[in-house]
Amino acid sequence: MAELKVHKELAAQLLAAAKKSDPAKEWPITVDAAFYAVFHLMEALNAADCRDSYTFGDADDLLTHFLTDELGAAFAKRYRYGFYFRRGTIYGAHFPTPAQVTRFLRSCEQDYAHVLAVLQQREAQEGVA
Amino acid sequence: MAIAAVHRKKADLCWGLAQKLYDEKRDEFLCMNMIFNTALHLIEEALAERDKHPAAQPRGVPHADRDAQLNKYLVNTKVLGPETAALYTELYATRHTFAEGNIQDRPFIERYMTTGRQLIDLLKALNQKKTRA
Repeated sequence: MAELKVHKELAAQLLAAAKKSDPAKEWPITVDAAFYAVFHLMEALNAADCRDSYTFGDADDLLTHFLTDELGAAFAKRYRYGFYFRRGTIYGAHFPTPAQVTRFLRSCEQDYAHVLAVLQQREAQEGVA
Repeated sequence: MAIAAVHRKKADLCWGLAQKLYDEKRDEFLCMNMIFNTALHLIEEALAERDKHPAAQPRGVPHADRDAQLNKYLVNTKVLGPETAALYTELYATRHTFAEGNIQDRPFIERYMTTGRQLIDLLKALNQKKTRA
């Protein structure tokens, strides 16, 4: 629950931290930072339309009903892969391999670039901020 | 869901990373998350030892249910004092509203670490007692 610019700035910081972290020894940082970089950029896009996610359930509903139109079904599928990967590794019983963490990071980098491009287009066309 | 030993291992890993970020004075958002993750795994270790693992809402994570289970099975049974639940609620609520207008800074994480350390010390002491028993 924040303004567009806060989500955008935090997302950029988090992506940088994810890239800097060691996927073998610091995987909780890599996973958290990469996931939240994408999540906060999605929230920036929601903020552009005066929406917020109060829960991850909200975030999924907003993705289903609004953001998939802008970001595409392939993005939605990758976001859900990311959400459940993070939940299973951070909260659940699983310990990811370095290869899994690296693959997850690459997926998040791709998603980050995609959402940022859509957001920048809206900023340029509509002046949302 | 993870067993108690897995929660212990993840708590140790997250606590090490939290202290590293804190000492290096960087990435306050991630430091907050590592502190919170340490606390949640120590709570779930204590709950798992008693066969009371929290559940999550659909497409969610179990923060609210963990709060309820902590109160019901650890505080109301006097395994832990009421200050434990208050500390967890503070960590959870503060984290939940973290971005109301700004991004976490150094003073924020110093306050968060103070609260987190109190809770983590209490939970570690409880879980050590259970291990020795």
